[in-house]
Amino acid sequence: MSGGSIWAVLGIAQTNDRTEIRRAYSRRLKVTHPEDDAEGFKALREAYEHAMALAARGAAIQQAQVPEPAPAPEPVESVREPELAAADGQAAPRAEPEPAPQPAQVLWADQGDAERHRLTFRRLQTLVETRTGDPAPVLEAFEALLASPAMDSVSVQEQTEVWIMFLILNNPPLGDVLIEPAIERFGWDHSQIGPRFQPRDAVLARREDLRALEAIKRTTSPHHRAFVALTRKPKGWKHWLDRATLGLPDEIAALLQIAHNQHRGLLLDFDPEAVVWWQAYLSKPQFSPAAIWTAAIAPAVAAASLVQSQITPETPLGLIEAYGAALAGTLGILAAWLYALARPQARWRETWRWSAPIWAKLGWAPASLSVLALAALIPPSPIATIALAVLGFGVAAWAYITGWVDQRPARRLASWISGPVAMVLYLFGRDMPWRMRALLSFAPLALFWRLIAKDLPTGAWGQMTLPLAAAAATFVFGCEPLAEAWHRDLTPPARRIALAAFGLAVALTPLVLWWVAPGPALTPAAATLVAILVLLHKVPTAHLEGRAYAIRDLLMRFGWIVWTALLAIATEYLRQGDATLLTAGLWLLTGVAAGIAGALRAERLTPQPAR
Amino acid sequence: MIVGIDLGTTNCAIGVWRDGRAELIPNSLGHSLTPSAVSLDARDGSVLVGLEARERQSTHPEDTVTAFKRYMGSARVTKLGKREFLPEELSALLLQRLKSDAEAYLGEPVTEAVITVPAYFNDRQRKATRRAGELAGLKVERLLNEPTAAALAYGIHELENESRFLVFDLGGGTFDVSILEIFEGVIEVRSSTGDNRLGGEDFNQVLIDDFCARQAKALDPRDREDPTLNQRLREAAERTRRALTDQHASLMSIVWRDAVLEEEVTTEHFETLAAPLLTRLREPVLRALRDSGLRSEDLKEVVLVGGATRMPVVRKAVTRMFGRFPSNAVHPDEAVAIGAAVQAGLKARDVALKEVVMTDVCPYTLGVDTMERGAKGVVRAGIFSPIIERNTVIPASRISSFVTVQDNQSHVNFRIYQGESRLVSDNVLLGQIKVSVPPAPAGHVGVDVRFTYDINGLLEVDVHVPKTGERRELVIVDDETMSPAELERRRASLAQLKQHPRENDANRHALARGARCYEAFLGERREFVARCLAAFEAVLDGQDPRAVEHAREALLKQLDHLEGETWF
Repeated sequence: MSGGSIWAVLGIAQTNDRTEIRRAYSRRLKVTHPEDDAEGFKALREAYEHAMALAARGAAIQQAQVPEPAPAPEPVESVREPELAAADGQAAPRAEPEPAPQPAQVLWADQGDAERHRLTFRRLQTLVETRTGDPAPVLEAFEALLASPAMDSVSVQEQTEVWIMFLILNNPPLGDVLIEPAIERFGWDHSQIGPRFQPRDAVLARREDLRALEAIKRTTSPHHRAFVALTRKPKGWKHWLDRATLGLPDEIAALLQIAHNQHRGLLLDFDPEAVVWWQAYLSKPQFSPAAIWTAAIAPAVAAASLVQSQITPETPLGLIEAYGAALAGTLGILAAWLYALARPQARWRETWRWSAPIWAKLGWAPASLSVLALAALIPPSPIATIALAVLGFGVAAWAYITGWVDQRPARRLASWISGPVAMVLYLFGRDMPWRMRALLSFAPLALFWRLIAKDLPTGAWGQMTLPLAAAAATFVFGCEPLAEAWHRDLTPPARRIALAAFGLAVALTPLVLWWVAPGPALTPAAATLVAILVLLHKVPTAHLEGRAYAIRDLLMRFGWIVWTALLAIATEYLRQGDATLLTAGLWLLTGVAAGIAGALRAERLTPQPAR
Repeated sequence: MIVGIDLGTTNCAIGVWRDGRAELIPNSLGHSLTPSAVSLDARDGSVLVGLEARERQSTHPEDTVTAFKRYMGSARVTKLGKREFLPEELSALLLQRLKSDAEAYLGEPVTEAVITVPAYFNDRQRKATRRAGELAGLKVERLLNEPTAAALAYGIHELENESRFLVFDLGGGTFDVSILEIFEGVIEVRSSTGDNRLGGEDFNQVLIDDFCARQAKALDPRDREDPTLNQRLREAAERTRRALTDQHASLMSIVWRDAVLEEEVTTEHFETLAAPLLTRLREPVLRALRDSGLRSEDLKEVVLVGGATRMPVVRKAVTRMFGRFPSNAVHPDEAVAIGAAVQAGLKARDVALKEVVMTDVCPYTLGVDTMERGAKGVVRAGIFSPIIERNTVIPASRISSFVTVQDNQSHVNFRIYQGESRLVSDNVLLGQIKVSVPPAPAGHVGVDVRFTYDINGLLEVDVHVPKTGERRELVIVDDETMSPAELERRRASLAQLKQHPRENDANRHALARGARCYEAFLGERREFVARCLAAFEAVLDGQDPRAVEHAREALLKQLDHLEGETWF
């Protein structure tokens, strides 16, 4: 019902005067009699209730400037002032227009009762506020309050209920002992539907919080350790032990989540400094307890084994130097991981991810491929090897920071058909973890690389391996954003053209391989070409499903069996040794082609328009 | 003329609005209250209604039935002699009697009536009441809630003033609390609640239990099952309770197995026994205040209605509850009938009541059962979703929307419940309605349910699926609907029951009362009753009307002397 028409139904102008609204309602009611005109009456009644609600709100806004004695916190204070209790004070001053002179209709049988009742409540209040630990006196005083003869009056009972509610809410840990008895005796439980009353709801919420707290305090509860940690001040050796306890930061995070979302009252039971400290700790990646233990133990183990094995017998290492070196190495790795990878990634995801330009988001892809190409083209040398390795892993770090991995478990039917490890895991009822899946997805490439190692000139293989590994890692970390960009930012025609071009490249590469086959000088370049194609094809095929995925996977993983068989045949027609690159390359490229074909078919079937 | 009828559990009454005021119509015995009792005289198969039937309850317990109002709406059959009756047929016999009393008093045929029902009566029970009226040949113009009727009886005198008052109705078996507001001739019910298992009978029961505990030696445990003993205990308890209204102590005595068993009950002792019942009185009062949003100080008056409020313990408890003396403005037993008569006048658009409008509320929450999906996807069934909340002003219409909960669900089955609990298992099932929905994923198909609660308290349910435009309507009916032909047949069969002419009622009542007293007393008193009865029967045979009347008065006075006055 719109605002304008309710006033039309009532027949008056908009007003905040509730008496006038009521008068208009009663006037109209005589015309739209509920017995005769049910629909008209319903409309009138709705208009009346709406108008009264608006008027109440308007009046409340008007009175907001004049601070009214709010009924909510008053009752607790009013008990301290003997003259203000609502139980009997409002009998005399309430000015009802009495038509006939009658004796005071409202009487209070016993002023003494009211006074004693107030005193009993005050005693209860003092007991609650100074409670040391024994709940018995408080409960006794509560029972005395309920048994007070003044409680026979319903108005006194209502007032007392409100007093108790605020006594509980204003004294959180000390007043908790009253919650269960009060809920039981006054029947505040919400098993019945009725009008809501905010303080009562607050007391019921507090009871739920306390129940959760009871559960947490039990040592068998999964949150117990976290609870103990959060009640401890963030200082001292126990706190350091908490930082180093395995799994504890995760539990603390879970408990804080529960406290914030479901049981806000629990926050009152934690130490506030501890909460603040742990929240700051959890907001950024930190040295996890696992890292701390690694830093403590690993160097010792490494040093011991180094000294024992005496790798470099000409310069025997002392234990201490070995330990020092190992420690420095471990700390260096951990620090590098935290400050160069984890924290930048968190920072990126928090702030720059949305505002960064496209080259920052995806530039690592061409960078890593160019590093790979460089590794192939530059003649092998130690300096170049080291520099390219560093560059390669730098780009991998870039991809790690800006990318994200599809961490969904591999549940696709095809995956367990085609992946032997996945099949075994599936039979045991587990999903393949994403890391393992990532690793296994590059198994064919690794195998290929191993196979052609002997075809490459000396040093070239060593120089290219690390950049290739870095490029593979890059594509593991960053494939998802690339795939998303592929699907989102390119129009279907553009995608089809790109796929077609790619397919063309894939088709032409075998010719290149054939042509290259004689000379080992160009082998690195050819191998790199194949590797680049394999890496790149991951992008459009990232979201292949079903049969296409199965075919591509089968060809990639098991095609080498076929091709190895064909290798024997091929060596008859080609010079010895060169067939490896050709056959291995062809094997991989068949898989790639199958993937591209699948992507093309998917494009044609369900074209996804660019958003 | 439209009459107003209070069809109570223990007593019923009939009133009419005439000459600008409501008045009660006396029955053939000259009383304004008629006990709600029906008895079958096995000798000639005739039916007795009212006080004479109640007198026969101790002498012919298998042929008499009282308090059948609580079975209204059910199919429970009462066997009186060789004939079987449904509760609505028994009520119809009562209504017939009241109808003939009214016609005799008013001198014109009476065909329309306003009948009161307890506020908590559900749809089925209300329809049964309506059918009872039709079986008695009355067109039921309106069903009125009893606490509202009582409030109307009080409020009709307060129309010029603006006031809020609370009606505290403690009847034989039920307790109702209503808070009303009067302004500018509009009587508005703000909230209505109660406990339908608390009444005067419970106060009797505490006395009975105490008596049996104290007399455990004389009473065999197997005797407690005997209906005659129970009837005598109930009467003795009732008598004692009433006696304690005026006296400080009373003797509760019954005759059983040729022995007189008696105990003394003092007011203090009764108060101690009744203390838990008095505590139960507070909860509905608090709930009514909370629902209406008023405080006890906002009330101008507390009006007591219902026979049980005559008890000093109850009056004292009410005084302490509200910190003031309750109002005596209405007669506790007659208030509901007076209110019904006022409503009859309102229906008839009497000139004097032209400026008066009354609105009532629905005293209970109506809704459907739903499933809710909690955290972690756990689905809980049997959750009550209210559609019309209690204390909504009626007539009212409310719509709620729901969605499907399973994929490709083909039907949605709504079960309609009445009650206040969050779980439907604790509420009362009224009916169900099924609608087919198009196949779609869960949560994609919406269904709108509209509840319309009309002024008589009858519920209409309207289910609408916006996607397909399908609509289903349900007006809650019982499983055993009576078709008009069936109704007619039953009415005819009831009409065939023999009923004695009205003029003989008083005599038959006196004889029945004498028979009951004869059985209830022993020794000297029994012989005395026998002598009085014999004297009266001798005069009856003579058939001189004035002498008969004289003798009847004398007999009744003698019986009063022996056992105290007849009460209602």
